[in-house]
Amino acid sequence: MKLEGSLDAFSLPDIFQLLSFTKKGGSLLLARGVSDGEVGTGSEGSVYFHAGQVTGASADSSRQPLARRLVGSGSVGDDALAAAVAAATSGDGVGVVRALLDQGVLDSDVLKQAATDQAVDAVFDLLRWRNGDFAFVVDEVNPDDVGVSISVESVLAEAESRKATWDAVSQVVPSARAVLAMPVVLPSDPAVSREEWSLLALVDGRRTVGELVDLTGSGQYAVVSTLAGLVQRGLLTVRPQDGDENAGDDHVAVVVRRQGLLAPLEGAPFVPVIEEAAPVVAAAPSADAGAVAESDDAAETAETDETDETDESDDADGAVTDQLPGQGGAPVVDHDDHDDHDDHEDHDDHDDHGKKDETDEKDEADEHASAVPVGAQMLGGAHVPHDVVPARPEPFLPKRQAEFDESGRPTGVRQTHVQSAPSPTAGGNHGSHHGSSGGLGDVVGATATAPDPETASAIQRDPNVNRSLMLRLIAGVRGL
Amino acid sequence: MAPSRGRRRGGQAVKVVVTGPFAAGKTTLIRTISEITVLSTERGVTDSTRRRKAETTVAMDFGRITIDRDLVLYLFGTPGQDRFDFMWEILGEGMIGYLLLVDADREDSVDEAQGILAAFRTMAHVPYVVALNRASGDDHARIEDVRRRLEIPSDVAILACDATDKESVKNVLLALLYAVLDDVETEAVRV
Repeated sequence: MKLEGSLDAFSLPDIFQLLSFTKKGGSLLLARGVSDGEVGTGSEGSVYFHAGQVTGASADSSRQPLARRLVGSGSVGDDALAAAVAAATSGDGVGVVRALLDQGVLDSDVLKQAATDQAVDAVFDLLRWRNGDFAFVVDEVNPDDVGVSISVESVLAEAESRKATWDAVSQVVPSARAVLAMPVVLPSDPAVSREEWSLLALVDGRRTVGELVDLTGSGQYAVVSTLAGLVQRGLLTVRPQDGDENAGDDHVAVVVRRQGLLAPLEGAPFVPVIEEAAPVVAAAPSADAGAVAESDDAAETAETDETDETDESDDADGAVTDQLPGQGGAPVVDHDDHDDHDDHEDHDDHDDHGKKDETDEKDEADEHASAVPVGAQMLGGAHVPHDVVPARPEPFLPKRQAEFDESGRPTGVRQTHVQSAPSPTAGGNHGSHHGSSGGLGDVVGATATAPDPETASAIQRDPNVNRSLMLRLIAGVRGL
Repeated sequence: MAPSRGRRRGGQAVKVVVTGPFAAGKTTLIRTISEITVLSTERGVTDSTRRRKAETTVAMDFGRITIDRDLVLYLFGTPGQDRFDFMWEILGEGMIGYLLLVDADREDSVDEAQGILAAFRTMAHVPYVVALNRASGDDHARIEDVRRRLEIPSDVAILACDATDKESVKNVLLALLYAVLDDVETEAVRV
């Protein structure tokens, strides 16, 4: 016999429970014939088990989601990544993340947290598959086993809790193909967290939600939830889809259109200042946090600036406001603004700014403009991203904040907890484990606690099976 | 971007093991009462899956009864063949009780059940009931004969059942659940 079947006959939680109950090790492979087109999930996924516990998962086997997550967080540099990829392709059965861990270039705590988040994200995605088939391959080892071991109950509980909120999130961000944009005017001064900022910096009015998920590598649930929160607070808007009446109205288009409405008062048709954009200077490859976002998104972050320009900031004295009456219709490029963004010294020291030789400034600007690729034109002048997205020495993913006192636990170890009544598997050879963390299935460090052969005894009924539970069971079976 | 730490109850799973000699009717019993069809099929999954490994041995039956939104009862059938007896302890771990199914029409089934029951009694201190498949409820002589040969205490139920009949299987399962309830209440009194 083979352990395989279809998901319409066996739900994923059922299969998980089976593998957990029987303490299986291997890989659960899932496949569906036609992709639902959901972001972050492909047509094949996998969940790895060891001793009945989840050690890793992916909702898209064609990709390296955990590695992408680490890359997105800025935890990995080029050299280390290239070496790890080489190791992973050598056929030794070692995954790219495992290779990175072996190189010693990753912080173990960060890696385990990322692996845990990745596994939960993947299971959440897989739970939403409407159809598909599964097969379990015994003893197939997770190539990216980094020592994470999560109880099935914990993973399923987390995924279920997400499902409860996902519907609400989906109402705000309707699909993976949705495009978000920044509003022209905010109702109040914005307050955002670093992780929200890292996403805002990637929103450009063109990039889809799916692309944002891919780019950050942080998982569909986390990214979409964060975006939905920003939309609800008015910091982002969902752009109309193609074909809608207002399709194409990004924040720049709105500004241009509204300024055009002023034209009858200004004596001349409005002509927006067009300046060639600065070349996209990719950040030097490094392990710096945020490098991916910065290098990947130069033009988009420049547009983010323009929103600020309309918002009465000093930098708003740029090209667009230079078209006020008195300067005629001929557009004049104000390179001061340009230099403010390009030159860190000027940016940091405004006293020097006034002393700078204007000719030099002009020359620098011209030189800059001449390096622009054809077609890379932008309203309001060119900007480079690093003045918009501040350097972030910390990774995208902030360190986990403990919800309770963890001082008594081993440092650097994430312990999973099942808050529901203990699973029957927790009874077993261990007898009572009330109030302790030593039950079978608990995770201590990277290893699930195993029964002590010296103290192992006959299987006992789980002491947490109580009268109330039995009465529910009896009533349920009676009602069959 | 870390996932929410808020935990909600993911539901509770309760496990019952169905054991017995080879061809006693364990698979039939589970399939009769289970709301899911079969765990194992012979149909393929995907080409890529096949590339990894052609076959995987399951050697067990697996059934599910959803009691309510937060409670699921799983039925695990042990493989009848001796060569799979190493799995008994694995399958038995965490069970609230077990059901020993014996084919009443076959003497060798009762003989084989003796060894299985002895192993389970040693392995697990949980309530159990014995079901005689293909026996009728008024066949008291047969029931008493099995009780004597298997050395079943008088407080352990032996029931006639038809593994193909849902009501019959329900009764057997209820007998086991009541036995567990008695055990729970007895223990509560002791404490």
